[in-house]
Amino acid sequence: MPPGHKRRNLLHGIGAATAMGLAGCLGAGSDGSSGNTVTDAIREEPRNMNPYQTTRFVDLTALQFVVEPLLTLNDDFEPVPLVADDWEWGEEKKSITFTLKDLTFHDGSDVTSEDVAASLDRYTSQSPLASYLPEESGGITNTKMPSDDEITFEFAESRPLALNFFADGHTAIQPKSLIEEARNGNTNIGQDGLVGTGPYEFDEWRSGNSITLAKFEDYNHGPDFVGNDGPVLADEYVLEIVPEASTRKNAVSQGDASITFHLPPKFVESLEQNGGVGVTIDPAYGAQYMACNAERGPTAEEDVRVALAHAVDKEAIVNKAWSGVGFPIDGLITEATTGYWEGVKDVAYQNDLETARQHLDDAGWTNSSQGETRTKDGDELSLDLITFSDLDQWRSAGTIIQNQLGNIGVSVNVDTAEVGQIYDRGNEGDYHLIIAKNMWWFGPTYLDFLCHSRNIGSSNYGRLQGETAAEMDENLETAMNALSNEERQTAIENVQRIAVESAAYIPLASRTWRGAWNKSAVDGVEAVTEHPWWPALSRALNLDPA
Amino acid sequence: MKRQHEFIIKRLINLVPVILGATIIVYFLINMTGDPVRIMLGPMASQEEVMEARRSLGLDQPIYIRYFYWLGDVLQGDLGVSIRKGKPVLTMILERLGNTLILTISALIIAIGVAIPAGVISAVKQDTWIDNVSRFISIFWISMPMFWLGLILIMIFGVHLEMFPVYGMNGPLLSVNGLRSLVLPAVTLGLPQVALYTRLTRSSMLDELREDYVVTARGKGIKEWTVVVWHSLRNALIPVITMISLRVPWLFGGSVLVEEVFAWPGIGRLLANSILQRDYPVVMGIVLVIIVLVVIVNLIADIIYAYLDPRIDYDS
Repeated sequence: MPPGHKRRNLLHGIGAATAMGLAGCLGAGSDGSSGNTVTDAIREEPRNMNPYQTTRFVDLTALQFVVEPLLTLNDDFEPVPLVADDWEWGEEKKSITFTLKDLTFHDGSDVTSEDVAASLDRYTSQSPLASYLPEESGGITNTKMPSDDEITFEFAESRPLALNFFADGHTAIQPKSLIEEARNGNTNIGQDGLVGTGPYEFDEWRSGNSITLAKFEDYNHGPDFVGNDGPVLADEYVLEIVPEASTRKNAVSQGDASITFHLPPKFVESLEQNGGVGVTIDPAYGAQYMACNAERGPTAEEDVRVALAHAVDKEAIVNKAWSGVGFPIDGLITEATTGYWEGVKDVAYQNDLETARQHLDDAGWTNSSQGETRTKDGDELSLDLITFSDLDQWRSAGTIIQNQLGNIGVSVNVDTAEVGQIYDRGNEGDYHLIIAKNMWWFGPTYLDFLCHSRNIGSSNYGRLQGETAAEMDENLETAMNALSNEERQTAIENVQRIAVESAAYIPLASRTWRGAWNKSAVDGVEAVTEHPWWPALSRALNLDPA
Repeated sequence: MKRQHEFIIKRLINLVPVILGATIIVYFLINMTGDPVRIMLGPMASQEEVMEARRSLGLDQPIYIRYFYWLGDVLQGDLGVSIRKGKPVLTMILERLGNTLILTISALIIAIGVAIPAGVISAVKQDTWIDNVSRFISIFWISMPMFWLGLILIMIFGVHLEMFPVYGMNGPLLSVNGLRSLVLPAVTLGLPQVALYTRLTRSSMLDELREDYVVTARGKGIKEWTVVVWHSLRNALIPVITMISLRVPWLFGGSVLVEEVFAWPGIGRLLANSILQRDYPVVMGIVLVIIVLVVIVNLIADIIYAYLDPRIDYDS
């Protein structure tokens, strides 16, 4: 065949293919979804849906549609039964016995005490977040299974907060057989499959694209506070991975996605003006706060830290960095976190530039005019502030604080970096100020991670020293271990007071839950937001394809 | 034909130092950014847990030792296991490589399919309004940031006209939904290429149309269409093909952005996420695959040169 003919045939082929493509494109409806499905646009792909390994919130949320722990927390943060039916404490809370509900896993096998024992063993031996229940920290030393539906955990020490940990999604119950297979290396939990008792079954994970969950028809043990004991209202719940924020927004506006719980603050206003889209915002657990390194340089001086606390205008941060979609906070934990103390409002330092300047003068840091950087013994009051480069609200807060501290004669070098570098520098103490982010729903543990001196070099960025640190540690240990509720509550309040008064931690804004949904695609969002945490269980049971 | 085989074998042998050099540079650079354990375990893990994880992942070994271990595994066909997911890297790449190839090849088809006719018409109609419009559009596309272009296309064709899905890969490629999902990302990735190839085809065609052999062909009374397409375009395509082969790495780079905007499940996004998560085995695996693909494309370009212009000698 002459070359010209070959080329002509090729062109004909391309033309035909293009025509077919266009015909396909233009001939179909706009909506790619089908059936009774809720499509939830999430900002990033879960890395690992193994409850015993993951440390990330996005992973935990996804896996809680499928697997369940023994208990859950209702909207007053009280433990209520989920896989367990009931429980009974032993003497001095050194043991606890659970009676199990008569449930089956998605694979059809019955839930037994052996499954519970294997799951908790896997959790305590593997999870980086298992800080309270492992034997070495005073937790489970022995497990007894008097019957298939009864299990007793014996602790090395009193574990008064154990119920909260048995309500943590990381302690999810899975079949013993699956855990044995994982232990032998024959399966990879959370990658190859996930088997639980949750309202949805794990169906398919299309790498980088979506995770499809299918209705578990036998589910009927939803807790009272959710409002629907099961089964779920949709046949499928699809978690679609949509990393770009504006694409998520467009997807919800257009109806390609039913809902997103990952709505950036900057899009809230425009979506609120879209009549077809509902938007809702609530304070979340976890705070945006600035830690002042009490171990290094000028921020080791309490007067300097207090001056910084007075100089920070949280309202401005909420208005600018959070686009007005946020809540200024006074304490290191928020009202959506267990153990929150309202009295923290009375001890928090309020925005007052004159008082801030006075503290710096008292500490010997002076200047001759207000715009000038203060000095002491020839050294300039210049601070390094680090924060995350990939989060608008954190990056912007850094710049805003830089300007605000400039008003009292403090020069701030803002250095933004990706999360790994921030962790590295945070661990090494290579900063004066760090605008940090953490999320945890359980106040005592969260404060322990953030403030206990044993966590200097990992999650404690305030790095308090001396007597203040000792007082903080003592209260944290009481808050975690005391048998008396009152004693624990007083201690957790003290922790919040010390954190704020020491000014090693300057609370800025509450992290927020932000949801947007297409009104013609899904109903039931109001029921989800009744619980302060918008829990996955409630999303699963209440969201209803419209 | 023998010479062609020898040439291909020589090029494949040359591939070895290229791949080695590139992997050494990337391996050392990515490892200099820090260690992945803290990101993996989160800020709440204790120092002991971090140290234990480092030991178990072999990260307590010197970097050059780790590189040689990695290289040894690669030579046995094992790209390692993802630190983040615990999955074999090869599996993770194969799950997504097809999607990226579909995207980049579609973009290339769009680019070539539009640019070459546009460039030829522009050259033939030099300095007419057609040429001016074509040049203006070329500059317009080439100046537009791809990220922004993607968002604009989503707004117009996804949100307002509802012709195409806003994101994702909504079905197998050979289905209506699959094709519809492909259109916007492929156009976004292809349009900046259209601009470049149009301009190059135009200038190259103008040079060829001024050559003596074209004047002779016209003098012999050969049809203008044959002179332009069969005689001139064939020669004019050589620099265009060079440019296309050189731009293939750019296409892979561009696919990172396009896959992010359109939530397209390809290796570009996997690479970007793996870099941020310091998942070194995945980063190295993808880099290796991309290097091999780019070298193969360049090799194919060399072979096409000789097809287009028999005067090109493999020995030279």
